Amino acid sequence: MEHVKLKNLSAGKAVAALSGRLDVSVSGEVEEKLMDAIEKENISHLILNMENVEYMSSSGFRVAIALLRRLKDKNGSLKICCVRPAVKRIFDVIELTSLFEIYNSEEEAVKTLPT
Amino acid sequence: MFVVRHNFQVDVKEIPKVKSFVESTLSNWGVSREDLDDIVLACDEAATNIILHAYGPVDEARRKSDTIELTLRKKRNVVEVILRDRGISFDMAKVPLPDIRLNLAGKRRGGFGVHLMRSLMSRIRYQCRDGENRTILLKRLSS
Repeated sequence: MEHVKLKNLSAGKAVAALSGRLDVSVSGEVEEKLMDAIEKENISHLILNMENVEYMSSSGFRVAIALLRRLKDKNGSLKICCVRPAVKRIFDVIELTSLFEIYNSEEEAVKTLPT
Repeated sequence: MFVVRHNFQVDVKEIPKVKSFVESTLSNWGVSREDLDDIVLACDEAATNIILHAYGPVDEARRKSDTIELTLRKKRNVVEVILRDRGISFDMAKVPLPDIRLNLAGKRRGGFGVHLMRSLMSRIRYQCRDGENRTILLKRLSS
């Protein structure tokens, strides 16, 4: 199963649609794919669409933090949208909600990207 | 009282199987969705820690021959999870709380798994006796 589908918006901006159950058995592959895309396609602003993420363990959160760090190093940004309530609850438990820009829809997140 | 037990290989590819086993067992026992989600995630984190840390420096042959034994027990409104392994001693109680600033600075990676287990479960304990590690997770069910 493919857990990441990347859609380029315009130069340096992309949306990554994540799906499935993001645990340690898949998080390495997801991180590698996204880090690779950030370098090869020179992405600075990335939106993670988590509409189809049913489950996320701390391995998934570590990937999100690694992406945020990489994009901040490039003076870019990481935004997250469409988080399911069960996953959002874990963001709250782990106290990471304030670390990320989280939006209800992809459209809302796209609107906040620099023009 | 209900008790089930299953052995898993020491491999991150086993984590989805750990989750399926815990989820289907607790579902059969009538545990509520929210409690079930908490216990499944805590078991995922505990098993992940054993594989990555207790067996991180262990050679391939031993990783292949050893297993992680997971026992689930429900008595009245308490679910107890016991994970047994023979990897290197790894006491979760000594893992410091995550520090977002250190994580963002790239100076630390992780610490969230143990924090999650502590937050989602009523109690977590660790014992090491005669080369066997036991991670014990307790959850008082909300309903």
